[in-house]
Amino acid sequence: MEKTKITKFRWFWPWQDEAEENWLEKMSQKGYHLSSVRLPCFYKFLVAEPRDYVYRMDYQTFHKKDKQEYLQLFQDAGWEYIGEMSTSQYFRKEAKQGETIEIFTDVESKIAKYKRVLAFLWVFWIPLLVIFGGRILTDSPYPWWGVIQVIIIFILLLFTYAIIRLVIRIRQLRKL
Amino acid sequence: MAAGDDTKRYLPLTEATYYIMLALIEPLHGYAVMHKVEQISQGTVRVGPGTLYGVFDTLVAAGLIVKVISLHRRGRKFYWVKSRGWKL
Repeated sequence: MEKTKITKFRWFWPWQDEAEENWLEKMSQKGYHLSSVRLPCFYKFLVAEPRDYVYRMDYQTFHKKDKQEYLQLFQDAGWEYIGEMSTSQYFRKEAKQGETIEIFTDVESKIAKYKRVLAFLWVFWIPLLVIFGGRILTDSPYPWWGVIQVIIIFILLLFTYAIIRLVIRIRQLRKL
Repeated sequence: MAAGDDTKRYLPLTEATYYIMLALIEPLHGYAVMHKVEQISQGTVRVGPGTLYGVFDTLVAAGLIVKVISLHRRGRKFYWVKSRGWKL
């Protein structure tokens, strides 16, 4: 029997949203249509006939009530909602001529989108730094302290890297 | 300018914001706004749902437009420019 579903594991940074959208579009052209997403980076695809789909992503966090309204807006505009992974919202539309295939139609709203991810990252980065910042390089009597130090430093570096790249992306957009 | 009137700090408006506020001379729901913006700009301005949601959010928070809940079409919220918004 042929497989009807496949799952892929692939990592994208938040500033690589265009690359991610392209990848999903190429998958659809090969007949793999995104059906759900799950943390940390699992993509589930339904196997079917190849189609020309446009995929678009947004970064949003909201309350349940606001989400309904948000999704309604996209639905009315012809976008199918696939799901969310952390703050990423996935939408799909069949590519048709003469129709808008962008969900963000100006630079300001694209910048605002990356700023929402930034805000989300700060929320984790600042407390981590405050809690561990002073203690991170000190010696400790616990034998496993070294392991924790490495993990925390790694997470902090990861977040710092992500924040810097996002700031660069926002700067690039501002110059447009 | 009256004391406490801070509406001017929202200037300059982005092109999308300007057209969205113009469209909201009458209460409309999201998709109708997208259509009307395209209409009044004679097809030169198109607003995607992501952009529109952001503008709604900002304008509601700024108190420049108001959200009206419709009794007839459940789930669709209507928006309307408040008098404060007209000053802009």
